[in-house]
Amino acid sequence: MPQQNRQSVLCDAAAVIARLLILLTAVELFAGLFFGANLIDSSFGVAWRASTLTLLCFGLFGLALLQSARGRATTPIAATLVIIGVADIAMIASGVEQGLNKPLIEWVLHSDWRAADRMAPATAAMLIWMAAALMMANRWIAAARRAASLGLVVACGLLLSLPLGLAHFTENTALSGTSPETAFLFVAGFGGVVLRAHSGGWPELLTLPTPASRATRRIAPLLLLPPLVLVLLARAADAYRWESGDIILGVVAAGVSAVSLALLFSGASALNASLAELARLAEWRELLIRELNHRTKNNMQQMISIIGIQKDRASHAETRAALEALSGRIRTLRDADRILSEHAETHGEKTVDMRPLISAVCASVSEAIDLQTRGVRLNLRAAAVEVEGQLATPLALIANELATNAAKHAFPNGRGGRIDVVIGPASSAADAGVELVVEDDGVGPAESSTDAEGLGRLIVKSLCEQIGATYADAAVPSGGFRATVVARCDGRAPTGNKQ
Amino acid sequence: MNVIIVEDDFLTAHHLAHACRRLGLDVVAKADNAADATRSISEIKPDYVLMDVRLRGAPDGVQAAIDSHPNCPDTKFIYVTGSSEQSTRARIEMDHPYRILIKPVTEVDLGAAFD
Repeated sequence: MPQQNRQSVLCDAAAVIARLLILLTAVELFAGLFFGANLIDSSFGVAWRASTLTLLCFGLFGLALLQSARGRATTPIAATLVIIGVADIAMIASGVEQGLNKPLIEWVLHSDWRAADRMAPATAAMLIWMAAALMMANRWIAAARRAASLGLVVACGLLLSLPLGLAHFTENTALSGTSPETAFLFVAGFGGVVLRAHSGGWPELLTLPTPASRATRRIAPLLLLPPLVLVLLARAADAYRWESGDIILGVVAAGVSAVSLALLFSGASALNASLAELARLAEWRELLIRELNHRTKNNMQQMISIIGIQKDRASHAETRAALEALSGRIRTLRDADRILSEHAETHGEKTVDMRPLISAVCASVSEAIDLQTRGVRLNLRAAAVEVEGQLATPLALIANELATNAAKHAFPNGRGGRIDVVIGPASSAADAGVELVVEDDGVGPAESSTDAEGLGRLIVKSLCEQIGATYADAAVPSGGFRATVVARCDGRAPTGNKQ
Repeated sequence: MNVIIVEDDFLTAHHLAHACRRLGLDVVAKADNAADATRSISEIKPDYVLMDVRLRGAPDGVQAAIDSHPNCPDTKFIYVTGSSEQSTRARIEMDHPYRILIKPVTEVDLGAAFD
């Protein structure tokens, strides 16, 4: 899939940039130490210090997310909210402290103060991630995937500008790590870690021979060593030019950033791998279903074709009638299959509205027996009624038998008339029920019955028993015949009398 | 009125042909692959074509129909397919067909489609 390839290229590119960034940071720190060079801009230290708090917050978010991925959902959500609250208060306090000696308006507009409410997008993004980790639903995963790739690129771009000394060109909070973009992308990175935890957990991530694990193992010491060496050397060397507070903060910042970046990178790689696998599985499953669907339809077509060919060759009227009745039943099964599978695709609920199915049955009976030219009207009166999926096919088959029976036998010798098919909620039943009535104004119940009619009756009776429905039929006083079927919508036996 | 049946399943083709004859249509040719279908349709220029989507080998029925259109602008294409999923639907719709019938189809369905 080109979309997937693009995402994977983005993730890989972000990983390369992350490594480059780490290398540059280390080089710059060493250069500043040994050569006393002015490579390190003064704003660099400030930016790192500011971002430390944020990175630390995101680190804690990550831990909370990991907890949630391990199935302890309520604690991490509460913990995360507390962490966000503390972080907000810390940032607000920092804004207050820095703004004390300034005019009110400047204090209100102070960037650190404003940074606090920028945690909101991060919170939202994090909740999405948590939902993705807990539900593993495909559309969440898709959203998470896009967010991770986008976030990685933005993050690396922003962080790259720090060691390159571009911070003073863009004096905005994006570089202090409190902007929504930075927040979002770190959260996205940790989301990757969460998904990783879902597919194995940290021990596997650090020990398995996968590319992500290998990279994490290789990068971790590289990331942690320079700051430590820096501290030791700084004490001995006179070339040190920073305030002592700066170097401690610098070391902490470098350490936290390094670990965060490593997590970001390995999480994103793992995320990419597991998402690709998920997508592959989903695609495979869809292909399988489609093939199966296609085969079912073709098999049914062959069945209908064979019956059709046999009917053409049959010399006896009775054989032809039997084969035609068989065709009608298979047609009903086909309609039920079609409507139920379409319904499952579009709605996915367990219950289905009977109207379209009964309507298809009526159309099919009307066409097959050519009612129109015989002067018989088939009226369908359907009210919305939802029944369990398992009830739909039997009810449709019953409707087909009853309507076919009326169409064939109620109007002999060119007699015209009408057949009413009524489907809707049962009027009498106390429970939610469905009622199917087939009534005609024909000659009334037949005196004698052939084997074919017997089969029709057997089908109706057996199916009624199967779905726990009651069946009743009677001659209509004004002439004609009425059959009534009442079933409970949930498919269980009705509470009323059973005939 | 005449019809060409393009279908790679023998039984189904046979049944469709029978059904068409009974509905009063003249079945003038059958084909089970796109190349034969395009050739027959272009030569005969029938009133109707019953077109399956998956045929023996490539290309598919939609391509065969598209290839035939320049030679017979008045022919009505009725697709008879076993694939009801969205992607196949979309591919067929691209050809602006006269009708789409989803398998299994019976004589009754065909009768309604030719109206």
